[in-house]
Amino acid sequence: MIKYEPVIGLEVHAQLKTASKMYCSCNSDYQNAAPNTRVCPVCLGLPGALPVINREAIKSIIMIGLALNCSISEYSKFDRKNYTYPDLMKGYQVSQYDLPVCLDGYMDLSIEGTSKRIGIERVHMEEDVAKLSHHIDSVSGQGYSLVDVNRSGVPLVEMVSRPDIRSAEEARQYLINYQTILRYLGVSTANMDEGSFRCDANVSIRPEGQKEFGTKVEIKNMNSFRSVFRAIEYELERQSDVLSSGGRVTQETRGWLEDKGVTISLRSKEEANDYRYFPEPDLPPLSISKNWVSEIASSLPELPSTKKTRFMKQYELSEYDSSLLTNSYRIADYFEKSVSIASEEFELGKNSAKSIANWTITELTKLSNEYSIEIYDSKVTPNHLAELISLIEKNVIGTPQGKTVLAEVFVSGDAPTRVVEKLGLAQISNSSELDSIVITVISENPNAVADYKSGKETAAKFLVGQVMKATQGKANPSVVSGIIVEHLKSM
Amino acid sequence: MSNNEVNHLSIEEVVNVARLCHLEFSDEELEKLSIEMASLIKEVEVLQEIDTSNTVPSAHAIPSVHTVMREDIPKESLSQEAVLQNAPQRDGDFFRVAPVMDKS
Repeated sequence: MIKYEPVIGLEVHAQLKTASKMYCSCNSDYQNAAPNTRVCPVCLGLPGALPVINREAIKSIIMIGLALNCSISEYSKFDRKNYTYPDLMKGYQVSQYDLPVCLDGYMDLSIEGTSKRIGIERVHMEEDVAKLSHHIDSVSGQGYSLVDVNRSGVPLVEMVSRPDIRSAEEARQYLINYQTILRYLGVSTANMDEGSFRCDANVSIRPEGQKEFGTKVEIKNMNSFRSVFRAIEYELERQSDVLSSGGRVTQETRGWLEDKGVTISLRSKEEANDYRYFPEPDLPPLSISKNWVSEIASSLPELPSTKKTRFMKQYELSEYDSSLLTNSYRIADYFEKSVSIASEEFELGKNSAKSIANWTITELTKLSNEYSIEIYDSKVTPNHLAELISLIEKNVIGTPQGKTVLAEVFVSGDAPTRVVEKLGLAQISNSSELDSIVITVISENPNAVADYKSGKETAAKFLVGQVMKATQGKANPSVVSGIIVEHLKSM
Repeated sequence: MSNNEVNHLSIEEVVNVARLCHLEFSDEELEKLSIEMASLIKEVEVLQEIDTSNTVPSAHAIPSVHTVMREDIPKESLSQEAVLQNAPQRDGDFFRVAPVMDKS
């Protein structure tokens, strides 16, 4: 049987977080407004209305281009993409055809420990379209659509990858990485379920070793990272089945049906759109000065991949832990704040960073999922976390008690030290108190004592366990072990 | 299509342009248009005779003109009444249109 190689390219649309729209000054917050109230003559394409470019949007796309290692065009232009659909009031979308703002970049992925570079063909500026909702008339039974123009004209950045992606997993990673970059830059909320981050995939397969591309199929309607992954997996298998049974893949647009887990044909190549692009006569070309680009470049925040590498070095974390912490810059900031408080206020050593990382990744994440509250929005402050680590490192409480304390702080917001007092979780540090418990345990377990005496050293561990049980875990096991061995040796 | 020898467009080409413009024509009209459109193209083809081998390509009629940008400050939009006043069919806060399934 012939083995096929997947060839995948992604087109990703991200809405920018600007205050006003791309080509007019309407408020771009289309969601928190009554329908059709953030609309002006430019949005409606009324005669005589003239677009003017939003500087902040151009700044944002330059930031994105720089973060994706693109070259930024000094000379860029806008074009009309013509098509007829009710989500487009003007009958065309103002987009960019042959001179986009950003060209020829790349993104590095880390797939199971190996690095993989995905080329980026272009990143261009365009505008979002009106929002349609579909309804059925209760009287006539006929379908109809309602149009809200608020979203029309919101700045949209389209990023087009080269066909370098070779699996559904690479596609998923690429999307997650891009989302993280956009959030680090602070230019987009990049939320797939809110529609501010959308993805279409071009998928084809070819016999392994063949240079020419196979016939590609465009997949639409994928509304989550999971559905992108599933849709690509499904499509790869479908195409491979078609070829294996002697058929040919049809060039077409297919839609992903989430509930059925299949793609269905929406439109064939013959019915494909002819967009008749031509230069937007209302917008002269855009010139972007080198000075402006270098100014923006110097103000870029630290990017996810750089931060990850720094975390590995500076805090001696594994690549896995570092990437978990840097997936969100807000969690990364939280972690670093806690680490600096741990060293400056609680005078903990370098190792405390590792503990803070562990507690953030495991216990805090668990609580965050359980209560559906982001770690950085929870009542556990970076200060609280540092204090908790300090209590553990100074043997005031053990790790199991630490978990109880953290859960309580998460709910109440009380300082860990207070919670320890309130719940009486402090370890018994009074040695005479421990001593008397050890003596009782030894006298109650003559068999274990005999075993120890006959050379079975593991019997001491059993006795430690009994002491821990008697103290409800509030003793330090290594201290207890020391006292027990002392007693046993003197017997 | 830009070939000087062509005296008429194919009927398919005319049908395609008509489809993009949402226009419908009878067979006679299509026949007539295929000749008329070809002559239009011929008129414009005069431009092909100009020697552009020493001309720098430009993206705009006046290459020295550049766009100005505005600051990102939201301003008042139209009232909802004004927005919807030209709606061929209005449904509460919305424009109402014929159902559309195929998404471009």
